[in-house]
Amino acid sequence: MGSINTFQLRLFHRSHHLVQDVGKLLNLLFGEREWSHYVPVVLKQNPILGYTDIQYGVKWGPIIDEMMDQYNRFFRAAWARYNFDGQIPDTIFSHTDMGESQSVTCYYGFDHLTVRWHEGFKPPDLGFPTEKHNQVWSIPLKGRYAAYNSRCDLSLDGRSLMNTPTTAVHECGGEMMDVWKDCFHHVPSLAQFEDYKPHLEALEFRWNGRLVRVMKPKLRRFSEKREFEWSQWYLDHWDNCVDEAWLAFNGLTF
Amino acid sequence: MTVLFPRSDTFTIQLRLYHANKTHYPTDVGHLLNSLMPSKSSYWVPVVVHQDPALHYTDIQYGVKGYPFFTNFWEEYRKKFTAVWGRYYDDRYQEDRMFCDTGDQIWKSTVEGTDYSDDDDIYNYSRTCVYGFDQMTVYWRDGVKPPDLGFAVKTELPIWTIPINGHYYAANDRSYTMLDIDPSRAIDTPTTPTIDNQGLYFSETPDWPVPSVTQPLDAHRADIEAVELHWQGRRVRLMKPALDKRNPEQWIWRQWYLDYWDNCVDEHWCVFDKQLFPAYIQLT
Repeated sequence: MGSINTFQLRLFHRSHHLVQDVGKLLNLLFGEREWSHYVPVVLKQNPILGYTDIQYGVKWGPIIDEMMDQYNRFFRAAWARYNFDGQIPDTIFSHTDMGESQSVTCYYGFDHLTVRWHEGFKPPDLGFPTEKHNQVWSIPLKGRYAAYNSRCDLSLDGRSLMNTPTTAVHECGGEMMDVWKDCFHHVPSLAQFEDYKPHLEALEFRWNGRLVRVMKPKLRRFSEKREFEWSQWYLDHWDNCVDEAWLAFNGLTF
Repeated sequence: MTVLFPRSDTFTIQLRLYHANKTHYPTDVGHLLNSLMPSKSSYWVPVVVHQDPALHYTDIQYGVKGYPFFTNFWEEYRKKFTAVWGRYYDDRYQEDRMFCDTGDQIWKSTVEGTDYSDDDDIYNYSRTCVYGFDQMTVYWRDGVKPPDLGFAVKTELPIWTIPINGHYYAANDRSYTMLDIDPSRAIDTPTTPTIDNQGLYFSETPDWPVPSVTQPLDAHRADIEAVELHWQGRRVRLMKPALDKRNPEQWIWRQWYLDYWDNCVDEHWCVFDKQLFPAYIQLT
């Protein structure tokens, strides 16, 4: 099967004229074999907002030069986020009339954190400005993190699916990664939760009211000690992308 | 830039293609679109594709001039899909139509009393599509004292919330030829934005859902800001009274149709959908 890249493309229209031969456009993006590689296809042309969003999977790195050359009169810019096999955090780059930018780690924003503690546990004071409702903490906290937004369709059975703005995702986890160091290095205060894994039901991150990331401690399988690891659901999309160049391009701030 | 185009025979097509095999659904979506769209191009309708292997189907929106045909599609995808269910709005007619094609024969239809005499016209193999709602919300204008119309109303003036089930016909046009005239008229739908249908059809009398309940509102339209219909919390239709620009004496209802598969209550489709997949995965 090789590697699977989940690719999220946003193509900014030059005018009100939409690409009509969308099948040809997709085949150019999909590469030689002309199919999406283990990722469900989602496509939406939005004439009001002036862009087209496409989700698909490619085996190797995303190549969009040829498509952008052929459709130059339709698209003034392409922005792309992609996840490489769930191994490296999401990466972002742009392709405009000025050329293609470097790929850099893509950061996503959150503005609210909900902490759900287990029944019966008396939560400690961790120094966050918290509204406490019994076992549920509501924390207005702004920050950014790196993420692994794979939309691979394998293992879509199961009951642990969550919706995203594109297609459902399964939980990820079990890797020996240090989530606080790898993803949340811009919000070091959150690492405090690591020690409370046995007492936590879930951490829920939201952006503008939308659930964008969920972390749940679960017992590590095949481990003799009673160890916990994080199950994670990555629900990010363009709405909570806070990459600096992306924000500048769209005239947004974080 | 304003694109004005004489619109006729523009079909807005919404397909739900049921995957034959859950784990091996078609991923050659470029070819799939090419097999569906005449001249491999969508006609004045933005393209939307949504594949959801967890839910066993691929949804596709596109536009066609004239009649849609599925001959190429079935030739290529006979083994990949079990059925095509479709809803379409044809701007020569007034309401969305619904059809089913299982590929065994073209337009093998679930429609009773179908007249197969005209093989070319999809209209003969389809029937009017029915959409559902479970709540009506009436927004009264500022300063208006709403009349007692005898509804079981939850009132938080000036808004009435009326729990009522019903169904209606609709005209879900998703073509974008009109969109650049005035984007402020556009409202989002589960696929792409739509504008109100004023000036096309329905200009004078709305096809009131549940007339006995809703028709009394018609007499009070000068006092009403808007009427909304909801389905499971989603707004599926918006109606606003306005004075006709061409005839300022005349009140009309501007209507936005925001329907999708979620509130489609076509009897046969509901049965098909549930029989095939009785155990939907519950998405959290």
